[in-house]
Amino acid sequence: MKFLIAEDESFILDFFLNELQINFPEHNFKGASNGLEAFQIMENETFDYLITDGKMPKLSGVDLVKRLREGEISTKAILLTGFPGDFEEEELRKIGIIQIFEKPVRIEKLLDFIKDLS
Amino acid sequence: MSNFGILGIFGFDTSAFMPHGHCVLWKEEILIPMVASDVIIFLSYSAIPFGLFYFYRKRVDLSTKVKNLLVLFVLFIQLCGFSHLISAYNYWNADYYTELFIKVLTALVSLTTAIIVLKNINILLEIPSPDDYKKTNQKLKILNESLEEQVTLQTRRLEDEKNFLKAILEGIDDGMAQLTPIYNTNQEIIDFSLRPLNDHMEKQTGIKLKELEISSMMENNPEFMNDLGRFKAFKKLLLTGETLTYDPSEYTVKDKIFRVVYTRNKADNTILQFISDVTEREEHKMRDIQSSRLTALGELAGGIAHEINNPLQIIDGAARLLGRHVPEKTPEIEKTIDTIQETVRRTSRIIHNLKRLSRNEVDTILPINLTDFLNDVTEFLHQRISNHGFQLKKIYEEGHPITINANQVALSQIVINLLNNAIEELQETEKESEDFLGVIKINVIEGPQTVSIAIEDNGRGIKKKNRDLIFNPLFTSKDVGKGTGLGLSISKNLASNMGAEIALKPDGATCFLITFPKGHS
Repeated sequence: MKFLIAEDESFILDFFLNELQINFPEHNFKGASNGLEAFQIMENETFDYLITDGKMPKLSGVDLVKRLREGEISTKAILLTGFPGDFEEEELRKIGIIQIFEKPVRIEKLLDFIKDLS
Repeated sequence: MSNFGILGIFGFDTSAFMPHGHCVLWKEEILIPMVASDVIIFLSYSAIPFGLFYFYRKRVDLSTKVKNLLVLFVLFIQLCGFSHLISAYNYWNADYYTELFIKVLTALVSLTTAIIVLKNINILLEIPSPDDYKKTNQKLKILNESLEEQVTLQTRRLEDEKNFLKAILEGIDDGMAQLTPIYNTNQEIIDFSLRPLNDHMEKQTGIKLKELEISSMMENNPEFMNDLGRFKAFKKLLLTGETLTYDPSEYTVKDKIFRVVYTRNKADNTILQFISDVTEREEHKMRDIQSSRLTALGELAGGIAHEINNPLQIIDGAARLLGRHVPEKTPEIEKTIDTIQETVRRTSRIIHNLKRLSRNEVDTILPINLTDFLNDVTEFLHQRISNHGFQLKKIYEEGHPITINANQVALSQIVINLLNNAIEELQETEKESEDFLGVIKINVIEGPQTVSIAIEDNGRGIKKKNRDLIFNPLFTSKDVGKGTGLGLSISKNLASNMGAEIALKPDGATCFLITFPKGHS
């Protein structure tokens, strides 16, 4: 499976990419440092899942997903956010965000979730 | 009949005269009507004085002039009558001297009467005619009627005003009382007496009307008069007439908070006092302030959540990386990494809980897991408690699911308030005794129908006399400036708003119980 991780904090991005790749060598993980970059990558490349931060410069996580849907890209998304209260969960589900993690997320939780996906 | 007639005694000899009957040759057809007419005229003329006398007696209002005229008139008419009588008499007798005497007398009186009548004709003209009288009467009647109408109107107006004032007085819920100044011999005010003016006084103050009848305020309530400066204020009010309003008054009775207005009654130089119980309003106000403070804190927490959670994610990840890259992992290193990660989670939970205080979560009552909730709440104060060197002991079984229906924000407020009180009490206890180890215990007690949170401290305890007072608004045993005296009363209110109760355990160490009806788990 192919995952794209969008995260503006480079330490966190590297950490997630590293952890995930170590734990799931069978999957493919790619990183993007903001929403817009992620969108541009996804226009040309198909992914099974998008793991995105909520608050990012240029394009926020939720706006990124919305823009993907407008471009008829239906990649399922996982949202990591520092303030889940900003969004109505119902609304997020509707646009294809299948899971929301509150930051700081325990890496074990994320790993378990991905394990269940496959 | 003698020959000398009636006046014969005076020596008048009338024997030479002829009776008057001879003149008509004793012809009965002349004699009888003549004599009859004279007699009738005499009788009539004699009757008239009776009528006039009666008029004279009845009309006391007549002037002396008119009365004298009346006397003359009576005399004149009676004499006229006698002259006719003597004429009739002389048809058979010849007493002409007597007739002469009477006629001369009549003439004199008639002349006098005529002169006086003519002279005083203006007086007679002044005597109102019946027509005048009628007209005057009519006018009087109209005047009388309009007067009656005015009186009726005025009475109705007064009645209306009375009812209006009565309605206002009854409508005013305020207790009313009167403060009367007491003077010394130098006419200086030295005291005031108090007298309740309406029944609302008792309702508003909760004090019996009899007890509100106070002859000396200075003796009865020196604290109120001197310490609160009311004596000076009242004296000034009597001088200036400027209404005084204390809303709320710092003076409380039986833990009630009042709005009191004093106003001068200029009429008798006393002071009217209007008092109303505003305890509920004040509690509401404090609760609003408290809850808006918390809401603001919640909103602030939400605002910085992003900025704190990202760094926390970094710390958490960095600790994990560190663990992975250390060649030899000693137990100390592992423990340190665990501590870092645990602290990250705790910080994150604090932020998370603070965010809950924001507006949208203030009013909702939802089922909450009690042990999870208590873990979250104590997180806030854990540091503070251990900073003071005190212990926080959670006695409840963690992970044991007990669900209650509560407003999370309000319940946090109550528990934090009780914990804060406990910390302050332990601090005070510590000051008094060395080697004191302060301990705060939190427990969850399940009953058949209820669930209680118990918060206990091993401080000095609450004095017996204060035990009944602590939930009353404004009551505080803390130092001036430290306690508002509202924490517990607000807590009690918050609790009752969600169907819970707060109580102090009757004996032993200070232990507050927040009791909920059991929810559905």
